[in-house]
Amino acid sequence: MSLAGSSLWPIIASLAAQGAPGDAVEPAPDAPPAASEETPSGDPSLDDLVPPPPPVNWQEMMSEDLVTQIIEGRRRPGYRPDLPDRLTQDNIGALRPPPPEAFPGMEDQLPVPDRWRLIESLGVVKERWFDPYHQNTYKGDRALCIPTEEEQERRARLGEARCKTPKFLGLKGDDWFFVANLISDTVFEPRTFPIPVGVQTTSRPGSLDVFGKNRSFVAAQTFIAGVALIKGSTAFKPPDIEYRLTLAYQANYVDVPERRVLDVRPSKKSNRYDSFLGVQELFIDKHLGNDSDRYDFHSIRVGIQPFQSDFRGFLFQDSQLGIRYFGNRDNNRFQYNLAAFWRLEKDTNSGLNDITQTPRDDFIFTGNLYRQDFPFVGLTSQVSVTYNMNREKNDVQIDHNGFPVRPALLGDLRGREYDVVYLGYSADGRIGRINVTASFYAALGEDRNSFFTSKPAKIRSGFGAVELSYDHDWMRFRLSGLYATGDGNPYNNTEGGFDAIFENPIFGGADTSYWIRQTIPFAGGGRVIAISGRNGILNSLRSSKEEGQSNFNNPGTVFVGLGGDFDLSPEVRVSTNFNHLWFADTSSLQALRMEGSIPKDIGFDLSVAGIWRPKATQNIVGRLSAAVLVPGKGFKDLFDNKEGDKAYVSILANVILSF
Amino acid sequence: MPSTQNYAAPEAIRAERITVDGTSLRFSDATTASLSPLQTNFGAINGTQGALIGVTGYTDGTLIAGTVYGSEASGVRASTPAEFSNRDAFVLTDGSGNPRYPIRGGTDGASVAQPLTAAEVRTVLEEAFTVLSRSRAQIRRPLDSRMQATISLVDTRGEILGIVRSPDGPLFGTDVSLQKARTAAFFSGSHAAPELLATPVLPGVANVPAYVQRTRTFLNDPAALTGTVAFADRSGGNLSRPYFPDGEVSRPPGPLSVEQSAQFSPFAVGLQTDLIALNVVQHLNFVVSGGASPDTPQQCTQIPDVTPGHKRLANGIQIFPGSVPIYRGNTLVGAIGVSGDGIDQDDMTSFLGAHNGGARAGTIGNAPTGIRADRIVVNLAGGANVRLRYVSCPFAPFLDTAQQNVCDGL
Repeated sequence: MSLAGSSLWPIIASLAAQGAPGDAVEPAPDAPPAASEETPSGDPSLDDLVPPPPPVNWQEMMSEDLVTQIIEGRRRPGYRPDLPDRLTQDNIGALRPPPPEAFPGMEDQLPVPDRWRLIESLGVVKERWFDPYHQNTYKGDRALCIPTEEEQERRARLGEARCKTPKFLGLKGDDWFFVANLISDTVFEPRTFPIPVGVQTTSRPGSLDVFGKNRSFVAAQTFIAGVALIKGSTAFKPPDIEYRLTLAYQANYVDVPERRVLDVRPSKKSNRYDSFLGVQELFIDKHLGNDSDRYDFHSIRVGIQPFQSDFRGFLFQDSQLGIRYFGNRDNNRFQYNLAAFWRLEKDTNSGLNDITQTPRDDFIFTGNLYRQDFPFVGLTSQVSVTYNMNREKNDVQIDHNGFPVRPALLGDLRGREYDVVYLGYSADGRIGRINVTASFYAALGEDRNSFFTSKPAKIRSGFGAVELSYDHDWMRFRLSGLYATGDGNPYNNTEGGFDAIFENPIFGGADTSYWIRQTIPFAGGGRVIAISGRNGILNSLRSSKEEGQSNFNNPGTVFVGLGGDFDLSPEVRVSTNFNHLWFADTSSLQALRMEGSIPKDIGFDLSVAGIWRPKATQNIVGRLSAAVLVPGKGFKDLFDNKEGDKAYVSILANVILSF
Repeated sequence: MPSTQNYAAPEAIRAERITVDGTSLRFSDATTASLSPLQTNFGAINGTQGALIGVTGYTDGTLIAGTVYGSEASGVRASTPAEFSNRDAFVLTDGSGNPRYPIRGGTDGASVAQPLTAAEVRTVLEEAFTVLSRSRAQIRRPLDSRMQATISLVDTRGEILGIVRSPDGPLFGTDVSLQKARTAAFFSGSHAAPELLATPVLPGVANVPAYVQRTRTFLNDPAALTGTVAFADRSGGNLSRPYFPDGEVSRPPGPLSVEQSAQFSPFAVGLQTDLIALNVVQHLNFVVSGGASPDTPQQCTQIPDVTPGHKRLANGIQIFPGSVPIYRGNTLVGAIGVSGDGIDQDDMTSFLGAHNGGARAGTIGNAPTGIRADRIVVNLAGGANVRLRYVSCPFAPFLDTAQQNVCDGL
């Protein structure tokens, strides 16, 4: 199982959003309310521009007239001033002003070739290539120069550096932008979770039972480097074309206390170093046309690209090989996507896309429609239909650590395939002062071979998740609930457990929370099966979130959480989460453990996270979080540890540096 | 399948409803419906399609009725108060009301300073039976059924000091539990190497003495198999796998397995089958010759006798888990073996039976931790090392509590 993989999705998603001004079709994955970006201090030229504050008694100083007057071109609701009579100008004999050419020497004094350079020409900001926060050509803030002879001559004349844009790109026009990204993501993660001792051998003598020591850690360093070339000129007009490539390299180290957790071979040591280079984005985005004079548009994007099925990543949130047709209508109040994906294999220990392997026989066809301000002002609704076609019946996949992942080591061990359609409704926004986000899915389909019965079974399962929050000044209070159905009878011909395609839920504290972050090996019921996957909330009993198939013979998930986000300053945020989890139905766990009495209660999942952004920007973000799982009756009935620990912890120290 | 018409096992208790570490067992890939039309009348085919035949030593070719299980005639019945403390326990009987293996003290006084007493044997069997009665079955439906198994206790000579079993324990477990107990006593004892070395070589068929040197080389211990280490059956099982460690197919076999992994088969597993190879051949000759060739004698392994007509391994060894040796202080005095309802459950019942019984008796117990086989680390090619195992007690083992890791620290 992937014990080291960390979710890079949010980072990838943010990359795709950068420098693509018209690509606002996909609502952002619940970006936390961004603290307004402050004017950087220590720059006198900016300070000079800031107007002085008004006098303290400015209201008294204003005459009654000023209160009733209105600024030209503006209206004040409910106020109808008495308008003066209409004036008609009639300037008989008036002349046009002379053209600039009429003033000799004037042409030399208007050296502003484009508006992007205006701000620098005014001396407001001096571009520095290594500064991603201020205006920077390499971050897509200004158009690339085109190395034509005229341009080079002009530059030579002005004493500027030559235009270095490579000629082989064949760029023409003055609206090509280049965006480079470089991100370093460092994770150090000590955690405890129930770990079974090896069957064939153990790390130490006296290991006479199933559960061994539980303390382990992961260290992972990821570098993400991306480049994009974008043609398009304004903040409102969608770009005409975009080429993008993003690579991610991860080196990870895991140390666990027991044998045969990290590698199928019992003789292997209980630590592991691994590294991998994955292709996370590789696409062309072509603007096909505009549909209104307000730049409603339709585009097509082909290649490895990020996609998110709903606002919070419950169903499918991944960077996958696909083709996507998308656009908007009605002044951006309707947005739509039609997409098809052919899923790439993932590297086992990093979770990154592995394009050196043949893609999986697994396809996703999806369509969705967003409507703003529906049914309430401030609330965006989305309906979606997603069809996951899995044809991996004859596929045997062994992961890099030697563990079989397809078919999963569960039940009859026969290969299987399935067709499942997810019908979804999601909403995000607010109703009055209450912030709302919600997703509901029904999963309907057929699994051609239930691993319990070796017969086809209908898939009939459902999912619902709602988070309500209320903002008070610098605080946000959250109440969240989630229900994913569990299978009620493993041996009938209906699979009633809900599973997603590839979840990355931003919910209930996300990877701060223990249950979402950690993988729990289902010791006794399939030690290479995870109760819930890494960065996943669903108890889906998969061999691997990244490489395994969806499994609808699962115990389901019930979740209730209270949380708070506290923006103590623009640099510091503290979040807390008090969650409680249950299985919806433990029948499948009982059948797999040969244990007829497994309570539903998983336990309390309590966590706190601190986020520090020393420059109040996203360029340097440090995060430290700690979560504790206090096991309930069900968890205790399933698992234990040899160290006598009554609770399990997940600590995550994470530094992200972005250019 | 045709023969089980009308008597087929209900779907709810078939093996395919049993999972072991999440994997279902297989029952049958065929269904009655997928077969040709079935004859339902045996009389209509007997003598025309085929005929009943005699098999020497097994049947004279006539049908016989079954014997009701639990009756005196079946050879297994509930114990009497004089025989065992718990009426739920069954014992083996001779058909005339006499128990075949009444509880008794050790017979090895000649070689053990203080053999097991009958009271100690009784205490260990009682405590093991209590553990068994509380335990959850692994291979039994419906879920949360109690464990059912047979418990055998032997002395260092492999002599039976007592056998008790739960009412529905599988019958094969009687033989297997005894094999397990004898295996633990044998390999933990000082006579293992000498007796294996003294076993006749059958050229081209079996070379039992060779296993001693293979084991000593493998463990890098010239004194191996002379009673310095307590071997549970799980530990010996580790050394009996066709790859060591088990499942790692690029590695050579364990020293008690066949010499080349490719030679491994259910009929050639290494020492276990080599010990009885001649006996199997003798018995086959007896059957095939219609009795002209003599059957293999009882005490059917080829190791030398301890006393005339008595061997330490009288019904072969076992290479899967479920037994532990019993010690008085640092001295081996016997072993307990369990078979019937999952090897981890068998391990636990032996181990906790020896522990709880020993604690109650106050005089005996499990092997001291310092000499258990899980102290042995085998160095392998490539710098890898693999530790042997002692016992593995199951997850959530008891029906009456949610306790886990119940053997930890004992």
